[in-house]
This record gives sequence, C-alpha cells and structure tokens, in this order.
Amino acid sequence: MDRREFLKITGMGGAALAAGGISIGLPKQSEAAKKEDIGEIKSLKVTVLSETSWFNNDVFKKDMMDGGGTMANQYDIAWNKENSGGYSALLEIEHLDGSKKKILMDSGWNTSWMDYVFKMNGVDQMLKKKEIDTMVLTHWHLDHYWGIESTLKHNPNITIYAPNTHYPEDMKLLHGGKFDKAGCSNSVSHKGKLVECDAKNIVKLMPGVAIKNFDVPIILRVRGENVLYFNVKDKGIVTVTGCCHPGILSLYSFARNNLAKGEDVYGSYGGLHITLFETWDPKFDDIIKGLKAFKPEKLGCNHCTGWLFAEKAAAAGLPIVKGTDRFLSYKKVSTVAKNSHAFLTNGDTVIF
Amino acid sequence: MVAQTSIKTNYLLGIATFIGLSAINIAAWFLFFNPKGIMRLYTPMYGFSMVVILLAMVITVAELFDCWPLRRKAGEKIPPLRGILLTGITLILTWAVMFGLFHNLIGKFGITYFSPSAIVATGETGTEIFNARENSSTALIYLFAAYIWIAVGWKTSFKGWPWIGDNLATAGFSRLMTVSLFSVLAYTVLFHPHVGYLFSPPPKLAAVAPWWESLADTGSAYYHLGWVVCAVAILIMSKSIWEGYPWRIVFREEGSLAGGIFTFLGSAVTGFVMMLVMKKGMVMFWGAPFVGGQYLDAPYFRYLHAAEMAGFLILATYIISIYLGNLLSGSNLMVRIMVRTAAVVIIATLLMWFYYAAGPLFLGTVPGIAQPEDTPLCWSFFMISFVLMHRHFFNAAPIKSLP
Repeated sequence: MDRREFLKITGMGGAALAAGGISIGLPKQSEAAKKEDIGEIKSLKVTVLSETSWFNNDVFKKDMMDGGGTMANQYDIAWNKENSGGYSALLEIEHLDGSKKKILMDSGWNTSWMDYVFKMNGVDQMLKKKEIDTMVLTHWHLDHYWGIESTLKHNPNITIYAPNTHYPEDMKLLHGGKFDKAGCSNSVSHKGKLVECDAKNIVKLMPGVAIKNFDVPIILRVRGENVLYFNVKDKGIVTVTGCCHPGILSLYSFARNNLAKGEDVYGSYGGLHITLFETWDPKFDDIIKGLKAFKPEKLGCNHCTGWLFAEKAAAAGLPIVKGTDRFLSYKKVSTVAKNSHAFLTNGDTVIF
Repeated sequence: MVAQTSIKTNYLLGIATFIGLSAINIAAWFLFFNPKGIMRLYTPMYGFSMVVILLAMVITVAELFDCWPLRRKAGEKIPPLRGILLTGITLILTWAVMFGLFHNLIGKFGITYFSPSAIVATGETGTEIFNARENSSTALIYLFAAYIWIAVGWKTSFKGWPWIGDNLATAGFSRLMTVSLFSVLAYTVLFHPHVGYLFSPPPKLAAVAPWWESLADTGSAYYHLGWVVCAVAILIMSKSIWEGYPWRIVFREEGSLAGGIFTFLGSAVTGFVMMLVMKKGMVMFWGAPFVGGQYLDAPYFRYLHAAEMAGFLILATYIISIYLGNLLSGSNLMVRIMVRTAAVVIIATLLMWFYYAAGPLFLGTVPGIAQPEDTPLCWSFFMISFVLMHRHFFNAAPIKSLP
C-alpha cells in the first residue's frame, strides 16, 4: 500500500467517524417519562442529635489507614472506641392538616455516646412511647449504623428503611452480633420490619416525604445511600441526608428530572461529604459554583460537609445556616469544633 | 498446515505467558496495594504515585536509556541475569526518586508540597500526615504523568534524533535531560495549578487558579490527565500496531526534528479529540455531566474515565503486539491496522470488565464505577509496568517470535 492509498482509505474512515460524531452529538432525550408527585408537607424541623461521628479527625484517619485505607472493610479495622461518636437527627414533620410525625434518621456509632445523646434530647422516651416508630438508615457506614442498639433497646419493633446494598456483617449486627476487632456490638435483635430500598424505585413514606436510594460506591466498602426528599408547601424541595455521598447537585438534579415541582429546590440538611478531612480541591469550587446555579434558600449542613466548605460557601454567598453554642452543652466536643459557628452542630435545630 | 500450527502454538504460548505475568502482577498487587492485602498502600494516591513513578522509571531505563548500562549496543539481547539486575535498578530508582529526590530533597528544600513531612511542618489547615501524603502523592502522580507523556512522545516522535550514532549512555542522558525539561514545563502549566489549590488558603503567588475551568467545567486537572493519557495511547498504538501511521504519511525518515514535532503535536491533538469522543460516548451512556456534579455526574470524572479507558487501550495494545505477535503480518496494511485496532478495543473492553467485575475479588477494589477512592489507572499502569519490564528486560521470554 502506498501513501496515496492509505490517505484514500483513512479519508473514508474519517468521514465515517465524522458521521458517527455528528450522530453522537445529537441532543439526548433524557427527560423522565413521568414525574413523581410525592405530595406536600407544611413544615420540617430537624434537630441535630449528634453530628460528631468521631471527635478527632487525625485518630480516625490513622485507624483507617492502619486498617487498609479507604477501600478496606469497615468491620476489619481496629477503631479507637474512645474517638467514636455518631451521626443522628430527629426529623419532625408537620402535615398539611397540622398533625405531626417524628422520624429518626440514623443511630450513630458508639452506643454509650448515642445513649447519652438520645437521653439528652428525649429520644429514648419518644422511642419507648412509639412516638418514633420509623427510622431511616441513610447508609451502612459505622458512624450512622453501629449505634443501632441505642435505638433497638427502646423500640426493637421499629420499622427501618435502609439501602438494600448491605453485607452479611450488617445483617449480623442488626440481629444481634458482635465484632471484636472493629469494637462494635448489638445485643438487641431487630424484630420490626426492614424495608430495603433499591435504586430503581422512589419509596413514598407519607404525603410530602419520599426516600430515594442512590447506588453509589462509598469508602470503607459500603455501597448505596438513602436520601430523604421533602416537598414543603409554598417553599419547595428539601433534601435530608446522612452523608450525601451521591453529591448534593446530583440530588437536586434527580429532583428536577423526576419529582413534580422538583425544579424548585428550597434547601438541604445533612452531611454533604465534601471537606470532611479539612482538605480542599478545585472540584469543591465546582460544587459552590453549581450550587449557586440552583439558588437554594437554606442550607443546613454539618458532619462530613466540613467547616472549610461551609465557610467558603458562605463567603461565596450561599445561604449556609450558622450554628449556635448549644454544642458546648454536650459532654464532648470535636477537636475541629469552630467557635465561628460555621455550620449546625450538636443540639442545633433548623426549620424548613 | 505447519505454519498454521506454529502460529497457533505461538498464540497459546503468548496467552499463557501473559496469564502467568498477570498472576505475578496480582500477587504483587496483593503484597503492596490490595486493600485486603499485606501492605495496603493503595490509599489511593500514595500507592498510585508509587505505580506512576515505577512506570516512569521503567520507561526511562527501557526507552530513554535503551537498557544501558546492561546493554552496550542497540538491539543486543539481554541475558536473564541482566534482566533481573535491570529490574532491581528500576525498583531502586523508583524508591530513590520518590523518597530521596522528592520527599526528602525537593520537598524539604524547594517545593513544600512534594514532601509529606514538609507539608505537616507548615502547620496549615488540614496538614496532618494522611492528607499531606495524599496531596504530595497527587503532585507526584501529575508530574510523572507528564513525564511519561513526554518520554513516550519523545522516543516515538523523534526516535534517535538528534543523537543518532551516539552511544547509548550519551543518548540516554541527553534524552533524560530533554524529557525532564519539557515534563517540568508541561506539569507547571497543566497540573501545578490544581496541586496549588489542594491547600487552603491556596498559594496564590506560586500557583494560578486552574485556568481551564471555563473550558472544562471543572477546576480539576483530570481534564489534562484525560487527554494526556489518550495522547500516550495514540502514540503507543501508532508505534505498535499501526506501523508508524498516520505520521509516516508525511515523514518517513528515521528521526528528524520536523517529523518529531509533527508526530508529537499530531498525537497531542489526536489524543485531545479521542478524549472528546469518549466524553461524547459517556454522555450517551450516562447523560450529560454538570458543574459541581459528583460520581458519574462529575465533569472531572468523565475526563478521568477517558484516561482510564486509554490506560486499558495501552495495555491491550501491548498484549496484541507483544504476546500475540501483532496478529497479522501479511495482507493489506489497512486490513492489518483495522484488525489489530478492533482486537485492541475488544481486549481493552475485556480488561475493563475484569477490573470492574472481578476487581473486588482479585484486586480488593470496591464494586461500582466512579468510586472517588479508586481509579483503574493505578492497576492498568502497574500491569503495563510489568509488561514493559518483561518485554525489555527479559526479551518477553519464553516467547520466541518477538523481534
């Protein structure tokens, strides 16, 4: 083959590729076939029971690195028990008719810490009296789940909505199990209903409240996160998350494409999984830029959001809800606790 | 009939050899990087930086120095014992460059972010040892990605020029200096702004904000990593399975300044176009990404994933050219190129399938695509390093048919 022949054939190939490129470049029809109407609520009040999953970042990271890094199995790591706390929030929903409903989101990590937190906020009594009969487990991470005994000891029949992407170890712990190396245990078997949420369906919990599972890979071998969507009358969509591993903008994008009135984002509460270890990256600037485009009116964040992101986002003009001094009434505070009240922390509340 | 049998035997031997090498690679991965293994260094950036530097050193010894000092003349066969010595030299170089040159010399006496302990010593926000190690590793990954691109680009584009006729040592050191110079230039412009903005507050007098943000919809330098690795894939495919085309259309002579510039710039442009085509494909598959999106929705992930796919294409190209004898030697050039390219795409797809489907079992990775703590580039570069060491240091033994 000479150069002329090669050019001729590659020219034909190039034309074919260009035609393919044109077809690739055609607009994609990605609109959802039908948007889901989840109804409306009057208001949502969130109480931060505990957002201090651990108290010292450096100790947590050392445990994780010594145990095999971010992809290791969380049950195979020797965690420092003294450093563990937990993540949990109380969600109080006011329906359009004025009736109220309470939901517990997550159950923390260290059982003695969560017992203390629940007692301090009266959650133990709410569980005993069945005022709380529903718990939404956002995901199977240690700091959201391993304190399950603190919930079950007061109400073992509680209904739990959890991601269906669990491992045998998770089920063992739920039904009463112990992991010596990881230092977690549960002596009260769950007797209530376990609703396993999958990524294909939206679970309508009650009018105006829905759960959507996002099947994303997460550190420490965990997969999938449940996100709570609320539609607050005359305000718009509110997302409530444990860690928001799928990304806050992906949550907003899902609402816009799949929920009725989903384009009206009002705000968010929860961990946003950004600067949890006080590091920065140019891609976090992308998030600030993207969030501004959605124009949320109230961003109540904490936990794995990281105070660094909260401060930078607030400085960029995003409506980050400031925290108060209530965290000082807790018996233990995080080593990175900020007196600048960068975000909502233990004991704070936010109303949507 | 005899010829057919011989070819069949070579294919089987090639496949068996590659599987054997893969087994050694997976055992080494278990020892050093597997999150369920022994040393568990894939944190991920720390282990990834070791792999990128290892690959850079393999390319330095094998391509820039042509295996000098254990090979005296170009084309000389290397006995197995010398192959072991070359492997040892490469590993020592990897260790010396990472820990000696960067962690303890440049990092401590020049540019802070190349040394974890120097970062910690600043006492700035978030500068504890884990973050520091990951950040300095990120800088090393980018620097040596640029080095790999320039080194492969230089050797493939300029060939022997301008040291044709010089001995291996003279040519090797000359290439090393040239490649290092252009690598630093490429790193400074394409990657350093990202590394600077890994810190808070960013060192504004030492690093500009990522200048490509409005072009790429992200400030992440994965944008550049994407097209750079694609450009490397183009160069390697051109050299290994396209018989020097399409660059040979214009410049046929063995090594020249004009031919080198044409090939290098042409491969860079082609690599960029390849990344854009891959990005279009991802839009069809996953929908459009958006600014601030994470996981599959993240623009930076789409660029990284283009690099990841290019990494599998590079590995597949080496499998075809080294272990399967480039498949065809007769017939029409265009047929040969098309068959080999199709085979490379198929094998690259199988490798991707292996990584994502069997990775959790064999490599200890987490199931799923776009896990922020995992990039298939780490394993594919690790495997490419093994393939290149096997090819250049051990003459791809026991395969006999290799030139």
